[in-house]
Amino acid sequence: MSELPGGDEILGRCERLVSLALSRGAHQAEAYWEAEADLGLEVESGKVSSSSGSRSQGGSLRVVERGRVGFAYLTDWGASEATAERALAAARAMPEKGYRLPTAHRIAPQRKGWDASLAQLEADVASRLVHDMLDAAKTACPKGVVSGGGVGLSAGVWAIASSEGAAVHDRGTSLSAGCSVVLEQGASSVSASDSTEHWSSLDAAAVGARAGEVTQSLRNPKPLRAGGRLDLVLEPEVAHETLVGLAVDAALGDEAMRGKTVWSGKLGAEVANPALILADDPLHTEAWPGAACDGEGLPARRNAIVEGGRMQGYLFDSWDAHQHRLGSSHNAVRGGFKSPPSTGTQFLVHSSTAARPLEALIAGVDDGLLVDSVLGAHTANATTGEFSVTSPNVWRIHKGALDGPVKEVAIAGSLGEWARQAEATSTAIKRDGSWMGGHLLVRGASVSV
Amino acid sequence: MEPGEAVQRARQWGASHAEVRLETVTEQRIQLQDGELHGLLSGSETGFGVRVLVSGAWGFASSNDLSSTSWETTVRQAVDLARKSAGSREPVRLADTKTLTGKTEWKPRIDPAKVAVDEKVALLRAVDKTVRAVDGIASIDTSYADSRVEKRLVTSDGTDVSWSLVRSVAQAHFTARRDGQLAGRSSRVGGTKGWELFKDEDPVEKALAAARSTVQALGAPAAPGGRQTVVIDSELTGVFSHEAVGHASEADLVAAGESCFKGRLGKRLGIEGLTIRDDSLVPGGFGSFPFDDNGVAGASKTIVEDGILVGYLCDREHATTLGVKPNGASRAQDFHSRPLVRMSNTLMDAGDVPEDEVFAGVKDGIYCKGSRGGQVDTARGTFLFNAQEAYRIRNGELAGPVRDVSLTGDILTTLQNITALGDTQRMGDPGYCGKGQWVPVCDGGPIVRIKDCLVGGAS
Repeated sequence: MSELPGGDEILGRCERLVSLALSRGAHQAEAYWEAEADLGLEVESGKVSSSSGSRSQGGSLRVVERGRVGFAYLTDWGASEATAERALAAARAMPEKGYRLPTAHRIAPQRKGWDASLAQLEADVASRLVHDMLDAAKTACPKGVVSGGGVGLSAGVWAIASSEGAAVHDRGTSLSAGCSVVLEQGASSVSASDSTEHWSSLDAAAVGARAGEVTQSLRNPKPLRAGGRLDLVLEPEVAHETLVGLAVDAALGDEAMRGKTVWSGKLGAEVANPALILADDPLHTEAWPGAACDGEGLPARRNAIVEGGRMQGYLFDSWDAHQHRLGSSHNAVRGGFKSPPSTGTQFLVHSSTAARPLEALIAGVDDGLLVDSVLGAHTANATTGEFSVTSPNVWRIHKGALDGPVKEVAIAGSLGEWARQAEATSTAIKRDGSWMGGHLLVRGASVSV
Repeated sequence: MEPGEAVQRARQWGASHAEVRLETVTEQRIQLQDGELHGLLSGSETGFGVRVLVSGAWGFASSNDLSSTSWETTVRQAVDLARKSAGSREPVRLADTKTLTGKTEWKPRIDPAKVAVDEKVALLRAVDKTVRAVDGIASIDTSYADSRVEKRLVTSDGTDVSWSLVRSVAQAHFTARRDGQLAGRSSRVGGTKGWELFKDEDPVEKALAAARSTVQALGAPAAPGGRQTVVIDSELTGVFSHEAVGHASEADLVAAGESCFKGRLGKRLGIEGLTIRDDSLVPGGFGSFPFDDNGVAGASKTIVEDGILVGYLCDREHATTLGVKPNGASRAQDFHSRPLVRMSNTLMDAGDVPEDEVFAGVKDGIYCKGSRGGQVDTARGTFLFNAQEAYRIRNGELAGPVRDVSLTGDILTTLQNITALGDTQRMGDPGYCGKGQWVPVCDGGPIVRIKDCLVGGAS
């Protein structure tokens, strides 16, 4: 059982922290508190290798004194006074920047992303899902081994309160499953993975089945005869890791306004294929329920990044927006209690006005590749938008049909190039935690062998 | 409750083996943006993790609530989780290890907790001021972080060790801009050291060199993709040693059939003279530690010796599975996490080829310097890493910068394709390695020449 504190209780804690900070001399204050519990079963060599559970809670205080911001965090409520002092000391060391916390309002908890039975964190639930996943993987790839992965359950509550009116608490549950299958083929191996996450239920068997099926289909890859400019159909996850990830980096408002990204100075300009749509949309019907606000307690909103081929907007939290005398785009996110909020996305959606079934995307490719996964997406150059990755899991597409697996290829590109060459997405949408999207067809990408 | 008591309680409730890790991390982080203080925070967190074996199955639980109720609940949870998964796999057997007791303090020469914030900010401002003077540099973000880690590990075998260490790191990211062209690069200095780190290794000089090469990259053409001879600098040699060799030698991956090194102990992987070690006792190494999270003393482990695969990195569980000795490779990101087999400082030994001769052997190739990170698929034996800067090599001489180069390939083939090892070993930059959990690591080596390496670039 997760035994988490109630939302009202931790909101009350936040309000007490705010009062404490104000009584110590802060002009404004904002407090955040979170409590989480999780449980996981880990898999190794086709079996459950270990089980883990954790519980943690902690909070943070952001104070403003004469336009200067300070931050400190705590895990022990007994240290709240010392934390307020530390936050104020940090603020007093900062330059005066005229910053003010955003004006916010009380937001009622949505109570949509909470599965009460999942929140019990029962090991039996995880065990059943893991075994469904392992059985499905084995059925799909009888000679393969599930080398890694597992199932995780978690439950969490959080609250934000500020002297400027923010008062919100909510809670959520999460269920995740991941599966990697390896198939030895003499001196070499092929492998593939799949994973997914949902707030309430997921089909773990489907995760295992897909990992097994993809691995099975990668047997006996042949070398690609030559590289060159090829059309690529990217699995949704690959599209998310490459083009979408770089687009978000380029749209971070503070970086863009300081001239540090390839989309600096490009608001309203043509930057992409007119069909492509990239947006942060926590209000989407498929978005993680319960995201009523951003990480500063401001109401959630849809922010288009690219639509109609044009750059629609940059993303800001209130601090980044203030640097440029702008307003927040309600894009504050929290990566735990140990850091202040920063600019980010809550539910990224990539789609197109030219969405079609995957089969139709493939049928429209004369000479290309279907790309299932890439290595090294995180090594992309966020400044230039350029990247070079390797894909170990690829199938050749020839005259509109899949033509067997090929050995690993190197793929190079850039945000600028791929955004323009991304022609269409598939209607086979993957929804995975904080993002959603279909396959992506990119014309004329650079492939080396 | 004390860790020793928690171990006893676990045993009473049915654990055949129990270990408790109590950990406190105290940190400070500072950020500057174009020379102006942008963020300043400090904090501390204490928590504990309990790992037990019941009927040969693992259970792990953790909490940052130190109340006695929480200790009881957490120990109980670990035991219950283990009991529930008993029978789902072959029983875990732990390799014997020496019982260790005592306290080890890796004291910094200059405790960063006693260094004023103003002095730390001044260091970052010095980096900013020096780099800003380079024509073409448009923007600089600098940051500093230090952390003190205090750990105590108690096990049912009788081990009771406490240790503490300090890590410090300063980094800078520059953006260069000219005529509509952009280039970006980072530089970093870090170690298991205190403030003396920045007297031993000058972050200003390092940042200046990196900034100059960033500007040089403006307008550089894309690297030609395809198979070429490459020379990689010490930092990239370190990344290659880490990604391609280190990960493939992690015993949990080997045992799970997820490594191309499985079944290859004693086999030749590369040229004579090729020696790669993982050493958790490198003085000041960013990945260094005195004891691993199994209570095994830190050590230097040889993975490849004179071209032959001679060892894996092992924790107590997988050492038994593979029939080898545990060698201090068990690490957890923090008390929230269960320990896994991880690297520390992964280093390739220097060879005997003078550095100019390493280049002299290249008629047409690429020289790659500095790392933007890498990734590996150990099951398939495929690796990739990206260079921060790169240059064409023509007839042994550098012939102009090229942009954004990645190197990728099959691990076993690439090891065979190493044709020269430079005669000087250098440490690379500090970094963090992810395997579901992040741990601080470092790496390094000599410059190395590799034939027939797949370069990702413009086709």
